[in-house]
Amino acid sequence: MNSRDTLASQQQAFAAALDDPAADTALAARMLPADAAKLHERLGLYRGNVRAARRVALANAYPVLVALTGEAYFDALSLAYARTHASREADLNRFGAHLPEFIERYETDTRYAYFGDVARLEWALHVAAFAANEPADATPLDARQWQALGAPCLAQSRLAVHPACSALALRFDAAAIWQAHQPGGAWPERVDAASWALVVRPQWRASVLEHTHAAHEAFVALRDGATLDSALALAFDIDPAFDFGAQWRAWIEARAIVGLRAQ
Amino acid sequence: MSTPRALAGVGIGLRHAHYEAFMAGPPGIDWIEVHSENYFGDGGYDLHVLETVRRDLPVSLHGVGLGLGSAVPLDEAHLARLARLVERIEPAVVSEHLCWGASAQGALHDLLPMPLTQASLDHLAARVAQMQDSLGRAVLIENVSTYIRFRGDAYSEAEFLASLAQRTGCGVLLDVNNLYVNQCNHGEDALAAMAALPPHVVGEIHLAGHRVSAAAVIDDHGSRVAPAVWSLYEAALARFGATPTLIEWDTAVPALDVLLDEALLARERFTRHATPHREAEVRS
Repeated sequence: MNSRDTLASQQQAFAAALDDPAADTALAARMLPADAAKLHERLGLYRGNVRAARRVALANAYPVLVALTGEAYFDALSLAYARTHASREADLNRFGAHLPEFIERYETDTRYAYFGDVARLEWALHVAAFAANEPADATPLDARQWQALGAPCLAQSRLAVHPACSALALRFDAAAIWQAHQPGGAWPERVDAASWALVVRPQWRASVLEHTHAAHEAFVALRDGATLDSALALAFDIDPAFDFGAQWRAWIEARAIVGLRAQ
Repeated sequence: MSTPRALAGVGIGLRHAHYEAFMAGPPGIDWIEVHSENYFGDGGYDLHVLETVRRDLPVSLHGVGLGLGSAVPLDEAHLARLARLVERIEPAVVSEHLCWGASAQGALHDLLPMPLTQASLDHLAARVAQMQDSLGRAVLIENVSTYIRFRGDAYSEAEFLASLAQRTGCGVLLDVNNLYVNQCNHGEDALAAMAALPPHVVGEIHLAGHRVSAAAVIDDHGSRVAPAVWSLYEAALARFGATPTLIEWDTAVPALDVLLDEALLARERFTRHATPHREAEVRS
């Protein structure tokens, strides 16, 4: 056995004890304090730290989910998630990436089936907070420059989307639930309706823009490099009454669209 | 790349709760420290604040996630993000811990104690070299508080760090509160630990509060520095000279005024007890 194996096996045994207090006895021959009860208590401090760090990271990314589920439920959820999704990255800020899919399986009561979509929206908001401030390879335009571009040229343009944006198609109205947890928000009449949401970050604070289905399809097409003309064709196929003018203003004000893609 | 400004005097940690105050202008401190991982994003407000504050104050980047001592391979993506941040912020100091943090099953997100053996020293020396090569600069490695020790330890933690510094050219970030916590938890003599460190290797000092529980003294960074730790700090200043000193406060972060007041208490001792600091002989 080489030295690395020894270190690896020691750390493996320690990690096992962090997962399961019953594994402490296997460490007693290697560790101090010599008193087994004291050692068990001390290892418990590490178990508590590891558990708390993960829980804090998840609660930080999912504040609305914490409010919806309550503290005790969220404690148990954090534990169960950590057991199923070992953290592959040293950066704890990325730990919660798989919680949306996880909670959909974890919560079997169909009355709470919307937890997954709420989590999906919150993760997009979390990621948006750390996204780049400008898209790479784009020419940013201000209001006057958009105006000067002219309609025919704009129609043939490929547009640059802000890196913080995520366009979400959801089974439930997670955006309404999220809004309900913002200051002055009220619980929506119903949540079991398909919805489309765009996470935006106009400057530093990420926020949610509600989309129609048509707006969602147009935005996704623009994000993927379609010209504005072809993106709008998709939108009008879904909804002939699609209000492009209003949607355009909303995108520009929220800095969801920031300029032209570099050719 | 401009030359990073060196740390001198007393700093505090830059924490979310105080962003607004910092953005209104630098408070009366000499430098700031941040947890590197909180600024790994491509952009966003945290990075904007740090980039603004660094115009006025030198920065120390303190990593809590690399787990240099883990037997599993280092997370190279993490190291690359750190390298990018170092390039962006041009910090005066980059530091990490004498600990491990991941097993084959995944990251554990804690500063876990290393067995202090020859094998660990060989392993850590290679990892510190990897980190320093990747960043193109020397780093400081911090002593950690622990609740357990390994029966097979061949070194004290301070002896271990002194050897690590000698082998890799790294410096030491001396956490005086951690020395005190380990003195309480393991009966290790904090003054003897300082005596085991050559004066020139210590490039930064940490001071923080701790919590006494039945199980152990817990290094929670959640209160003012304890009187016994202030005394040890005075001894550290006498031995290591006027070493840049940080007030660390991570849980139940108080109003900025409380941190500034604590920094003032450090500064009084700093001025009274310190001999001029000998620059850490670390590779630049």
